[in-house]
Amino acid sequence: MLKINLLPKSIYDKLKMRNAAILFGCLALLILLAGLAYSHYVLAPSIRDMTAKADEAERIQQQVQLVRAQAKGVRDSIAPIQAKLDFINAVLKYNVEYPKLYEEVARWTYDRVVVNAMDCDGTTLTMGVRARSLNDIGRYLLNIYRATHLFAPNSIGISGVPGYGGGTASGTGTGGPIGLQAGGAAGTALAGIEAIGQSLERRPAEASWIDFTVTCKLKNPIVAPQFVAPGAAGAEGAGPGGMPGGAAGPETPAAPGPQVPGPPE
Amino acid sequence: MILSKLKLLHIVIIGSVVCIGVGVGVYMMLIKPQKELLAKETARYNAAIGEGTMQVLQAAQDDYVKAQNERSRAVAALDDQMRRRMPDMSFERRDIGMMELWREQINTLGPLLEGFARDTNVDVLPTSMQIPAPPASPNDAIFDKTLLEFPSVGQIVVHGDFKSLMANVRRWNNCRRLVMVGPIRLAGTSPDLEATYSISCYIFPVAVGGPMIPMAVGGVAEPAAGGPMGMPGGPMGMPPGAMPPGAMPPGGMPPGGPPAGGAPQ
Repeated sequence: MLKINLLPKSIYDKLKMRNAAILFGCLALLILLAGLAYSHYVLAPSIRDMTAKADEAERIQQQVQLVRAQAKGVRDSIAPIQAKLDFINAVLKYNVEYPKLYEEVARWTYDRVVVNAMDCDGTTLTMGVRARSLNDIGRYLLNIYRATHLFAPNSIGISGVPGYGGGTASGTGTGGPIGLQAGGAAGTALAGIEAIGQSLERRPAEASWIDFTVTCKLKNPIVAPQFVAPGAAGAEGAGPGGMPGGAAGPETPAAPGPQVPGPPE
Repeated sequence: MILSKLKLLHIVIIGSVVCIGVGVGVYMMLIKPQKELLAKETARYNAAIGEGTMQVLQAAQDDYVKAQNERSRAVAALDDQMRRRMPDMSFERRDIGMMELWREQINTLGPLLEGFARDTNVDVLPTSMQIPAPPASPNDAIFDKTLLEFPSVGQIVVHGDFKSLMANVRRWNNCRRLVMVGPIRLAGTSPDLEATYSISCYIFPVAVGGPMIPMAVGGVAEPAAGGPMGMPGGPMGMPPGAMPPGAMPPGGMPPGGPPAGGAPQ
């Protein structure tokens, strides 16, 4: 038997529309729930975790900054101590600079000349020397020229060497007016630490000595140390003769100033 | 009723719009703020993590310990030098500090330097030290100075051989005060060399000047003209309250009234 549906199609539209409405409603609800779940189970824990990590990192960062500030404070407090120490050490070092210089010069002195004066102002060394012959002068000078670690290049001058007929000559640097003998360098011997003693002990007995003066500029000038208080450069010692550069309060305050506590009983 | 007028297509469109609206709403109202918060926290974390790790904190703490060690070393080194080369003199209490400076400048420093200049290994010409008179006011600016300078307090002339003279100069580094030996001038011939040099003395007080002492205007005596180890103007010009009880001369209070700085009751 043939079944014939004689009902119009529109009779199901209402049902379909209701089902579609329910479907979209569920879909909207699903979207809402999915959003809530994502927010609650994914984002919120991430935020909590990141906040905790950021808080921890910031706490540690603050500690780091605090510790660094403390370290800087400690280092800042070292500066004045170090300045004093540096000055003391510089003075102690300065005190041995001249003996070291003179002893080193003595090592480069030719032992057949007599050094009878030595003076240094920190930049220039002046030596009064006497020798018996031009050969000795030349050898002595060659030694001095070779002391390149002591004297600036071309800074060695000599004066007082007699010329012919009563004239004198002076010169600076290598060569000069003195006619050095060939082979002088080969015969030149470094005199050693005893040289100046030996050479100075040799007293001139005859009038045939040649007196001359040698002037050398030091390669490393000797500078007297100056104390500079940290943070007060130019304030202290700026006045003439090291007079105080200020920083003191009024000498005689008219109004009562801060009271000094009474001496302990 | 209304539904009866709608068609399925309308339901689909409305449902889709509602779903999209719910999705957008959930995103805009829930997810987006949380994502922004998460991004903000992440940025905060990233900003802090550079210095906010335990390793950095440990390094900072190590650096702090290192700084403290440096400070300890510097303090120990300075303390050692202060013990060896400086008088125990503090200007924190200006009145007491002034008396200490008086004792140092008038009684101690000159004889100490003169005594030290007497070196048995060389012949020392009689030397007289010239120490300027100390200030007569506890509010003098000298008490605010970190370094007390006594330039060219004496000219030393010694005779001997070269080595002994150099040793004599170096010997000043063993003095119980910080002494700077000026440029050395050598003259003569060894072993009758003559060395001439000047000495300067430097003193670091333990502490610089404390609070000023209130004093009457014009109550300060002028220091005596600087003879060798000259006395200052004397206690006559001391301000009221400036004299510590231990330093009070027998006979009682100086003219000018009772101390204003709080004498012992």
